[in-house]
Amino acid sequence: MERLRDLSCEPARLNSLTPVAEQPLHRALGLTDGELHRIRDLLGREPNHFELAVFSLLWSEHCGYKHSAPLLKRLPSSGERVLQGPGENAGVIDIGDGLAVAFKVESHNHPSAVEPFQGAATGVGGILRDIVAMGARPIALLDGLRFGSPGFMFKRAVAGIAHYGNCTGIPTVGGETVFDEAYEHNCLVNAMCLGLLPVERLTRARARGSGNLVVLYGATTGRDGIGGASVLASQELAEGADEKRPSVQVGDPFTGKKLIEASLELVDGGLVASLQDCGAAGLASALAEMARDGAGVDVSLDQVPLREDAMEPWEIMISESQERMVAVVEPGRLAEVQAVLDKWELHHAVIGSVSNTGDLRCFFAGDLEGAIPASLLTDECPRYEVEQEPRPPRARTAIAAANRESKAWIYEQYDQLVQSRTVRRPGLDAAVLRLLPSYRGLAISLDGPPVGELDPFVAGAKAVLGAARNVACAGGEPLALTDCLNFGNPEKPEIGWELAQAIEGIAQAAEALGIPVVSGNVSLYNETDGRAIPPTPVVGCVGLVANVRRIPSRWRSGDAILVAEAGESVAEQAALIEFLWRSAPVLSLAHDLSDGGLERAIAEAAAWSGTETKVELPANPAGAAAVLAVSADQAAGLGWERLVQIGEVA
Amino acid sequence: MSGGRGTSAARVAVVQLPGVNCEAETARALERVGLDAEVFRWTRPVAELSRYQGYVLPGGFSYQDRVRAGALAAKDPLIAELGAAAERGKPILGICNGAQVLVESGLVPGGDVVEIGLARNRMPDRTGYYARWVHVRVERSRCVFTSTLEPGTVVPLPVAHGEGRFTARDPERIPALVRAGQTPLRYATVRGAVARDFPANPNGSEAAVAAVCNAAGNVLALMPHPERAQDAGAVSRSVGGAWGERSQNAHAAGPGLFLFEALARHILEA
Repeated sequence: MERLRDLSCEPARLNSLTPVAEQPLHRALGLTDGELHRIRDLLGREPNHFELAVFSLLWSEHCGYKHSAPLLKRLPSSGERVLQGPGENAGVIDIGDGLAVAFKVESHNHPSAVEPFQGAATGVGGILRDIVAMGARPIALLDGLRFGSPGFMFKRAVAGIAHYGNCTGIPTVGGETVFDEAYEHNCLVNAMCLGLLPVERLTRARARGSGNLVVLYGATTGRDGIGGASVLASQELAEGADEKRPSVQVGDPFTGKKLIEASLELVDGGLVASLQDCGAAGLASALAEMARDGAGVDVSLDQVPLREDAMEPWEIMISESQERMVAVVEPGRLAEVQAVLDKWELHHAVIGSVSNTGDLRCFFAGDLEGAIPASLLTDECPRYEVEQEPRPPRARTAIAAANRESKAWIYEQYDQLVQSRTVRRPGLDAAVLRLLPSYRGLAISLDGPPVGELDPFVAGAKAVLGAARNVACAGGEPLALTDCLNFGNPEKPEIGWELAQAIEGIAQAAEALGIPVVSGNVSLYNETDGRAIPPTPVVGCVGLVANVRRIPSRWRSGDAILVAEAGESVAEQAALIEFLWRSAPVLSLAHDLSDGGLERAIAEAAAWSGTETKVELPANPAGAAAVLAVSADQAAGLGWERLVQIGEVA
Repeated sequence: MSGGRGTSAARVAVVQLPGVNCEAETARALERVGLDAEVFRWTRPVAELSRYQGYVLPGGFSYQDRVRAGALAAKDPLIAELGAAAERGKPILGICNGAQVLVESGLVPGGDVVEIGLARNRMPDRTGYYARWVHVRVERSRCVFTSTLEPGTVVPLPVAHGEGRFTARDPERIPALVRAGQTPLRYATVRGAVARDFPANPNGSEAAVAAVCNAAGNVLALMPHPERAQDAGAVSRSVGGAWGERSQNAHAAGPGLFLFEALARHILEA
């Protein structure tokens, strides 16, 4: 066994991560004293600084879900369509005809708070690579944005999303935008991507086959984003957040596009045994995930193509430089893999090999820098049962006027049509993409709780129901969900309670709909100076449209305008959603009632249809859930008891 | 994408410079009208370009739009080869970023010097990238790509760009191109009047010009995206008129297909 370099007497080597003087290294890295003891116990020795840096990243909340994992078990995640549930780069469901859909929503809140353009852009880039790592071609992006106001920060985030999505040629087809003072210092940038793949191309991250080669390809590695997962994503922001700017990654969609095409060509050719993106915590996370099921990986960090001189081994290991992927390749296929990567003019290098030791062993110029059983980094990540203490009920805050204004100026900056699949575009409920060459389609929505909702259970349930109702209004049968849980510091009992309650709300709504949550992400520590954001679970829903030629579009002259009402319970709401998608083929329009109520929903439906019309608003529109338009002769045959006709299209 | 219904006599290269991202749907539109489309990537030998009967430069962000959109791509050896093909009369269509490349290289409107440019959009109260459906009106011209439609026909097409304003240092240059019949498509209202104002003229283009061709009519720089309008179902509800009504039929031929049909007819009848 190679001798481990003793770095513990060289504290200066990690000094760029120790901005606060006179504190122990593990604390500067974001590890608690207890976690340091656990590392010592598990390793049976003192970790060196390289190893400590790797542990700090993998055991961060962002990578390790140490506060949220026990709670997330509550979510239903199985079903006959599920090909891949939580735990991989993205969830994957079978949509029939030999096709599958990979999708996931992920947060990039803290980087966006520090530098909104690059933070949002790399949020898009990161979620794209997660989808590509499953062997899927990204075909749609959606964004959940919550900001204090539509000011400079917000505009820069929108520009960042447009920059990355437009340049890579992935249409941005939906999402939600909310302005609320509560997000003034903790903006939320959640990005969802959906990709399409033939079922048999499903690719996973787990390394297979001792002796297979580990190939790193894409962009070169630099010092950008060092410590992003632990420093940015897993701590509260406070005064001086600007000093964290060096931890924000910089995106390059130009390379991102080449990376997508090269990766899919590798997958199509059957040239890779597994694929993993280099996201949060860079190589450390990618390699630990690959090695977790007992395979083991040996990596030579001096082989990594660099863009900066004199990088330390630990810097190379945890750099979050964007547009990089890691593939496991059988030695006999290496030449073909290299030919594909050369064709796309991407950097690439064999940086290691798969072993059978179960260890993640990192070398630099022959020296062993660190050796950690991979399972310690992933499976042995500490799990904390969060303390829970109900927060006293608070009054809903007022809805900011900016929320009532048209959002067209936002999505007009996004390319909504590239790839030419978009049948129904942003602006009303869910977008619909056609599954060429068939007439089947996908309806997709990303939705959060109503503005100002402070009850976490209601927030969770309404996020799910809102997303599913949007999909149903566009003619889609909801199939599966993905969730991004944006909360404050889970070490505070009232936040722990909010998190648990919101997960319960999501779980009950998902169960009522009979659909699983197949992927997701947790963004905790959304606090500034001790003030947390409201509980904000943001949920993506994917639905199947049987025939894109028969989806609700716009109302026509002579149509009856109806309001569908439903009770507040998740069961009644779920029943309404089923009614909506089942009725969709005969409806000329269906539109979900969101925060603005019935009057606003009718105004939006009229604008979408291009025909103003007069309706009589019910005196008491309580329970109103959707506006429908249908030809007069069909109106009687709709199978929903609580339908109220409020007018007809002139 | 390759192996369409066309014969090898009707092969069209979809030229993909690094950063181009509309290659797949552009190839699909070409195959749809019976041409054999092949994505031709920048890493292939330039000499292989001569095998094709026509060329399309699709949309995207070639060379990251560095300096100006299309400026670096215009210096690519592939473009010099396309210039030679243009002189021999082969048809070349540049869409959006492809149009920017053709303008930056001087292939459009033709001649020895770069005469016109595609400047940043000029829009009231906003800057940058702008995506929406607009209408264009077919003008009288010798352009190959609009030869199948009568002058005056109004067609909805989507635009999506940040630098799409046709302009020139000489204020008489664009009007002269209009008079010379080298502006085969201009932004228009749904009723067919030339669109002077935003958003019908989505970028402030001089004389509402949406496309410029060379004097011979075989090279066209087109800012809207016809390949995104190849299916009727893609047409926005906001478009209105006959195309808006037809948008219920998802796979029926869309309003953008006519440019590709004209290309196919030109090649197959040559």
